[in-house]
Amino acid sequence: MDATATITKKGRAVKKHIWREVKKFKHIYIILAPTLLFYIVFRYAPMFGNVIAFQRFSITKGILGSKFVGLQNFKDFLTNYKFWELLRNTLNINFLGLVFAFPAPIILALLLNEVKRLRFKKTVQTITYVPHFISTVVVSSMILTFVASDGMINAIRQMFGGEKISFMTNSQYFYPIYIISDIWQHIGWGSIIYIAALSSVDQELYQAATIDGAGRWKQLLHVTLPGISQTIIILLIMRIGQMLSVGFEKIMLLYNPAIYETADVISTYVYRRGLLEGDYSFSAAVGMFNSIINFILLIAANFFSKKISDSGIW
Amino acid sequence: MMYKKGMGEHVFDSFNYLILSLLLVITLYPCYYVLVASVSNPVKIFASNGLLFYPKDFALYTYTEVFKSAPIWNGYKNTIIYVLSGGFISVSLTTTAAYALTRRGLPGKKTIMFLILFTMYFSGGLIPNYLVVKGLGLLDTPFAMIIPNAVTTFNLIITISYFRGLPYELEEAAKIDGANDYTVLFRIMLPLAKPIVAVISLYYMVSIWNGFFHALIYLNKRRLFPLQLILREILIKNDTASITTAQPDQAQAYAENVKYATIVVATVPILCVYPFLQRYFVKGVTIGAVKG
Amino acid sequence: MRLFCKVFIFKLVLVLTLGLAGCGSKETSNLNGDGRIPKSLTIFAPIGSYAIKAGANDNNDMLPYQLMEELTGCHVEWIHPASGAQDEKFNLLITSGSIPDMMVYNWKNVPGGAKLYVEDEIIVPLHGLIEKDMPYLSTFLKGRPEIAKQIMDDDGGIYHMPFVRADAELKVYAGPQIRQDWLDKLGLEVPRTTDELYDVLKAFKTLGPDIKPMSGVLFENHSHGIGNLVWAFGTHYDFYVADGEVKYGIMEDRFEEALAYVAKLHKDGLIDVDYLLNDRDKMDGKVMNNQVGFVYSLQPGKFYTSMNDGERKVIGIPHLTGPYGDQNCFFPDYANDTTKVSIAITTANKNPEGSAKWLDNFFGGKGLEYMNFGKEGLTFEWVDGYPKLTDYILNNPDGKSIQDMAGINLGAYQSQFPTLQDWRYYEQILSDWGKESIKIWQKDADASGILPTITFTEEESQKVTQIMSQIQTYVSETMNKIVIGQASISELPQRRERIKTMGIDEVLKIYNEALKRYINR
Repeated sequence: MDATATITKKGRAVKKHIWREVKKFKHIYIILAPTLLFYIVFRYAPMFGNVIAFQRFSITKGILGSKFVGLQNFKDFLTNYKFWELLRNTLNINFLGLVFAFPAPIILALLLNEVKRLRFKKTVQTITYVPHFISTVVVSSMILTFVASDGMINAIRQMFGGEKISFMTNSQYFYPIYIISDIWQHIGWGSIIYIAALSSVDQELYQAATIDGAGRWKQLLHVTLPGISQTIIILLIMRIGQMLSVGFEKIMLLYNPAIYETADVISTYVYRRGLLEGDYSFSAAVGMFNSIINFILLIAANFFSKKISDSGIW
Repeated sequence: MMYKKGMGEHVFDSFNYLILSLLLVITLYPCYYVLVASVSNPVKIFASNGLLFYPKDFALYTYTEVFKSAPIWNGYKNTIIYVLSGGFISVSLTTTAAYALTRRGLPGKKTIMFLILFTMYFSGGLIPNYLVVKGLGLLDTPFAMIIPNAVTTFNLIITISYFRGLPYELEEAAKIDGANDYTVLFRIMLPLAKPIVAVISLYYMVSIWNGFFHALIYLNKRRLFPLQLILREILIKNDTASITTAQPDQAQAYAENVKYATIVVATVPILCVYPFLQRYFVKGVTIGAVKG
Repeated sequence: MRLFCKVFIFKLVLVLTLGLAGCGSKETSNLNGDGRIPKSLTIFAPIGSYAIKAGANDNNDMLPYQLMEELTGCHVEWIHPASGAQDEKFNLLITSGSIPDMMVYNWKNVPGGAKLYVEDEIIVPLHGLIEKDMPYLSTFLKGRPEIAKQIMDDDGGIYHMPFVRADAELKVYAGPQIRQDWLDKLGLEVPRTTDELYDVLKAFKTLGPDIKPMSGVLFENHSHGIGNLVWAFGTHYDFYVADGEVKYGIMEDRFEEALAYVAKLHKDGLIDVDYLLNDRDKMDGKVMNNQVGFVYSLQPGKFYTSMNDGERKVIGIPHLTGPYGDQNCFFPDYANDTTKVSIAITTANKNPEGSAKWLDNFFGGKGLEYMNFGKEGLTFEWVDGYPKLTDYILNNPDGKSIQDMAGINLGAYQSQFPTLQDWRYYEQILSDWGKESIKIWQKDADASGILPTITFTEEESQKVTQIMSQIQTYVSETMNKIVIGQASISELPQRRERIKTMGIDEVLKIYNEALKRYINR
């Protein structure tokens, strides 16, 4: 009796304390409110739609009228004869992207940071970000033109006495083509955020380092990199949280039946199946499966990052 | 206090310039290719072995083709409206939220952050989103292009992480001087956050500029269509429609070129935004060095 | 602005409190149900891309629909999905309950079948209305029972009315084509058999180092695929009918020989090694650039406009004959009198009878004339009983192209709205090479093996799509890999076993039952 009384009392005290805190931040909440409202209305409210992952959704019956089938859609996906192949290819592309495409913009930003001629720096920056604006349809069509048997790449190969290669019908070339073109298209754009981060590194640190006799390499290691490490880590964690996602559009435009075995990924499969069946439930189920795995990866990455470097997303 | 350049420094510099110049060429060539192809004779570019250095049979047919159509101009107008108003709303929502979510000791901050992050991974899908937009009466209004996607979680997160790096002492000092939260936000934090505001402005404007999916779903009235949607229709006109009804195949040989001209037309205006914002990136360097 | 904000907030609250049930009320138009043609209708329909290019914002900017409004006194509110978003828009309109009065859509292939939409009370059956309120259409269907059969469901009901290619020539618009001038230069005859084709391609190869004697796209593309070569062996890469039974090509004996033939052409350098990378634009580019001698493609209108310089000529040749004397063509449209787009009247329509009466104008009388030829005196003149298109269309004084003018003035040309398409306008805007080619293709192609437009029950269609989505990918992989030499033809038996375990027999059973039902219609 006595004990419970103390607890409630304590509880009340905590409540009161919290209430006071909340009141103190009244204006902050007001500032935050519009964005929160946005999230509630446009992000959380539609989430109820995910129930269709557990239904055999029919557009004529709507979400309320469709039949529930439990985990059937998930089972369909996980027991599909192609499941492991799709998972393997998806992970391959993402892993290669993480190793090669992720660091590329960082390196570009660092190199640019070392350039002292402002005009040259600006030119490189402005031009490298242009490809980001070329739509996927056109980039893919250009890639196919360049790697064709009588395209640019083979023309250059032949100049150096090489043999013609049929790049797009040999599955071994698909990943390099995909990753390299990705780097080409997004390196400049990706570097924007690092360049912005670099711009806020304290210039006095460089002066101090120079006084201490640190060379450029040492400055890079001890001033520049730590200055943008926060940004790098956050982007890295987010990248890890996307290991199961690959945009389907570019792959759809590039691949062909001869290289399905390496190029076919989860998203392209879902797209094809959706196209054939208009199957919203199946894609919702696969989407949910992907999200859960991705989210787990994200949380794990964030956890380790906090352990190791004390910085993370939250 | 100039640091004396040694031999290694020079090697490093030359190497750096070399790599960047190479990158410049690799990036520029395909873009140049698009430009040259767009003003070439359509048939001749297929004979080019994939390499093209100057226009083959200079022709502006594709551009007259693209600019002839009234919908393009209307699309430009709409897109500019969406980019400016949408960009403004998006940046306002994002920066205010980022400011609020970086206040020390804000109760519920962690939960809110988690819930926001959660939406990066779990979303409702097409149909429920449509129902919400329809329920709010936004269908077929310009607001459908601006509001349903006003905040991008990714942009919010990078803004938050930037705000976190700003010196806390400034805020404290201002508070002691009697400034309220709004003054701190508008007078102190926002000026300091110029670099990140420039970055997310660019991000938002570009994504609105390039976006077509929302228009595809939420708009029925053609006079509200943004540029990208109009251009998409030009791009795919040659295939689908004529085949489904098996019409006389009058399509001219320009499909490939119109594709290229379309890119140029759609890309050049937004490219012009960057140099303006770039200035702020550089300015950010000096402002970033402010001492407490 | 303030008002907007208030209304917005009100709706926001409403949406949130109602929990977004998604069961919006069906929006209805103010129609009187007295069976007369209504004053207004809302219709979901695609819009022709040439009409858009010519500046149209919706169908009401097109001549035939303006004339139709004058004729019937009915104003139409069009809902046009942006091209590429038809499916999403259609699904969203249905699930969100904002169903228009009529919908033009690919009703033939809606998941579950159109009948399901009748049972779920989205659309109303048409057959009764056709009988009672659509004299033009019912007369037409009575005179053309073979078309009526394609339109109806297995149970004899008609649920949607498609765009009809009313003349036989309209069905034939794609086939094999060759560089006639190359043949002449080499002193060769038009190849009629697969063996002759091999020799001709071999000869083409000698014309230059850049020559790809034959080009095409993906093996299994009906209009441009290199796999169309297998037709001459009396087999197909998809479902077809032989001896009254549905077969799946790759499982048949003949297919091995046919595939070996295509693989041999590829191995000997006679097929564009980049065929898998081609889309139609790329393939056409190679033809127009004098690199290709033989393709399967649409009637050569594009080639005519860009290659008609007095020296070059691309012309259709008869479908090839194979070693067993087959001269098959399995391009589905050779046997289909209808296209995929068809119109249905929805349950949201308060006046189906009047709407049917309105719709009937697209199938006869003045309305049909408007759709095919436009306005007499402006776009066409009657000359000896023949509707001759005027220079306003064919040779526009303001220099506008034929497709722009036809796009905005001729309803049957490109707007896809269901009507009866007439060969007489079509042949006038067709290129000379195109007209010639169509006659050649039409002459002796054997289209009897083409699978008719069978329909499945809801359960069947679910089963079929589920199994076939796996099989199709695998078969495509198999065929293309064997052609380019990445897999050996000797693997075929083993791959067939795999296809069997994926469930092809079950699918064939369903197809055969559906075919039986079709025949009994």
